[in-house]
Amino acid sequence: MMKQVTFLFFFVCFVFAAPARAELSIDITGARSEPMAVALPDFAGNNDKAEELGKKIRDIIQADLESSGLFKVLDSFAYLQTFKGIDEAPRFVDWQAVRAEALVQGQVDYATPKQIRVSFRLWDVFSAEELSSVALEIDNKGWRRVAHIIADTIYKRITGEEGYFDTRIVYVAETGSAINRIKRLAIMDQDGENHQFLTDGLNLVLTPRFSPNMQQITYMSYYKDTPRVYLFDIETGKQQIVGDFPGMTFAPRFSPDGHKLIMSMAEDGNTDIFEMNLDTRVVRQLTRHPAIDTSPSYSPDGKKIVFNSDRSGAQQLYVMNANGKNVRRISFGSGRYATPVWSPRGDYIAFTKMLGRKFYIGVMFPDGTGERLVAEGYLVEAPTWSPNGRLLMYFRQDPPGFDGIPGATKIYAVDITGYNERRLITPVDASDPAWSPLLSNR
Amino acid sequence: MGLRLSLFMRLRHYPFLFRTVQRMFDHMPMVMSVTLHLFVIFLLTYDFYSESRKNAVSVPMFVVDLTDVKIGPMTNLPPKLAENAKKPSKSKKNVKTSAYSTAKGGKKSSGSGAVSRGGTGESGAFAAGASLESELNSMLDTIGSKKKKKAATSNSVKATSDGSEDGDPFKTLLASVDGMRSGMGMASEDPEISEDDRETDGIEGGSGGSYIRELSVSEKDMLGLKLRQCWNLDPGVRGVQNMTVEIRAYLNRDGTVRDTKILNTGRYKKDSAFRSVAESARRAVYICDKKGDESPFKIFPKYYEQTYDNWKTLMLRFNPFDGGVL
Repeated sequence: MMKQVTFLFFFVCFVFAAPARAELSIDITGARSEPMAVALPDFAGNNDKAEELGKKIRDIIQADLESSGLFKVLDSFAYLQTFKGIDEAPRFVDWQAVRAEALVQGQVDYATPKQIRVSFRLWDVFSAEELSSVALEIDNKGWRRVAHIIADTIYKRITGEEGYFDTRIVYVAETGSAINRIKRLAIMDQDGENHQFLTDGLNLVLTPRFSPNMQQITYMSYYKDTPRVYLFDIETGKQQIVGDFPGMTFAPRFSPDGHKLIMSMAEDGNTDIFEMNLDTRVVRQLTRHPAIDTSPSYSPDGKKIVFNSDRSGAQQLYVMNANGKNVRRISFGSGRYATPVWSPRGDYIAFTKMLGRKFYIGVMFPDGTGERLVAEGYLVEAPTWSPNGRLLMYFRQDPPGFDGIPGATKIYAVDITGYNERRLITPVDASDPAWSPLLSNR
Repeated sequence: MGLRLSLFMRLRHYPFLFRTVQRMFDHMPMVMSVTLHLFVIFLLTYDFYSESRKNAVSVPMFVVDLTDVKIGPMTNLPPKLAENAKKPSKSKKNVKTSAYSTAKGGKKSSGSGAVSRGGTGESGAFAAGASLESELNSMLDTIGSKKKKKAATSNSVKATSDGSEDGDPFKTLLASVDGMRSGMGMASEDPEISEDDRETDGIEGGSGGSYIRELSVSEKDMLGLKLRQCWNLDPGVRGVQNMTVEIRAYLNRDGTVRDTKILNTGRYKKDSAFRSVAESARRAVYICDKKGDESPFKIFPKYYEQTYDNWKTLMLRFNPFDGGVL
């Protein structure tokens, strides 16, 4: 009783405690949006070799940060302070003078001839606050990954979202003439380094997808002229066919937990969506409709599936529960919609749109509202999300020349805001990219 | 029905009443909730009531005699009027501070004054309270009919400027007497009010106290726009379309930023996306501050130096977008 009375008393006090004086308040609506200025002075080192490695690491961090479009590394000629070590305090006034908003201070040490220790601090120059500090020890062969991890840490601390620099990309490498096209699986780091081919190119491969644990890739390949879904183990290079289906299977994708595979199967002219448990190999049919249902993709929580169907007469996007119930259409715009992919962040669904004589890559909210197109071209297709849901990667094909030979295919990445489109340099023509999860989160 | 009627009448029903009360207390949360709601409703009603009363009072229902208005150090009067006011009043004969005529006194004087015009003033003067006052006023009217202007001033009952305009019958009586004396051409000593009492910041006798110039809407907009220029925001942050960052900035007297505080601490700690937006907003405050003379906060020491208390803390509300999707 006493408690309640006290509560009542305080409640009344709170309700009627009018502020003594209205504070002067100012509303700021909208902001400018340009890359954040980061100062990235050379990393210190305990010997010449370490300093040299420090320069390389710094350059990778710079390339990573600038490729995101969110950061601009200031020219080092302008810097007024050089650091001799990680513990030297920054003179913030000097860094404010060069208009740096953030400062990265780093050091590389050789602990043993084969072991390096990389440490760095991230400073907010204007509030003079240390935002983050990390030290990493790694075999010196892994210096490239260390640089990516540091870039990820900076990205995460400043944008509030996971980075994506320590990731890999698998894609379909295309060589040969237009008639005798050879398509092979290839893998590389997200900045194009460490490139290697995974398959020999005897069979055509399409639509590769990473499993969430990074160990496997699923894709569609032709086996005896029938398209089938395969699993490929990255470590061992072993391929295996998934399931024993009567018809052709295609458009595979892993579930977010990696235990299930979802795909389309066509039999007697009807395509439906099937789900297969990879542990038990039990297959379940999710849609039963005379129309074509394909390109399924799980939501990040694994509770919903977005797919593409022509049951309304034209290709549109639909969302259903993971058990196949509660199907509802979400896309109502003009044109046709295909290849929906649910963002790992959960807030958007990316798609390919065909309207008029052009292709578009776009995003919409999972309820179908807020459609926005982020890329357009003669042929742009197959969007794949960066692991943080911030970028979309897709491939673009140039229109055919006067001789009728199809144009080259290239991989591009674009921010979901539609800005900062950039091309990924690949040694050969490339299509169907798939972005891996963050390696360090594995 | 019968039971209800006899409930409080017959002794044998009392145990039943006790049981009912007891059962009520068994449902304590419900009772507490209902009580609380009723209490809140009562307080809110009371609040509105008193507020409306306040509003009613603030409607000016008194006459301001500008000839005798004293001007304090700050004023919004036109310069000519202010100059006139500074000159010492020429005739001591004039009524000094016939500033207010209360609603009660004013009405009475005009109403009953007309009725009892020509009646015997002497006998009425000994009546008490409001009737006495009205009698005096009617007397005044008859006397002062020669000089119209003076009549107008003496018609209003004198009151002191400290707001005790209504109620006290003795004061109103004194005021009436004073008015009467001045009406008869006698010099008034004006003993009640010293000059010190009448010194206020603004116009004495008016409704306002001090007049402080506040930031205009356009100046607020300008500040918002300048801060917007300093705010570098990544528009692709998750959920940025429904984030509002509130930052309190503490300013020094010279308009520089002493400290800042992000107010949405709960979300700041939990939501890393929000944290990045909040930090970018805080950075905006500092970046603007570091612009030196270009700093938007310099407007305060430049134009509002007197009112430092008003702007020593600022509430800055950062809205990434106008509610739209990117």
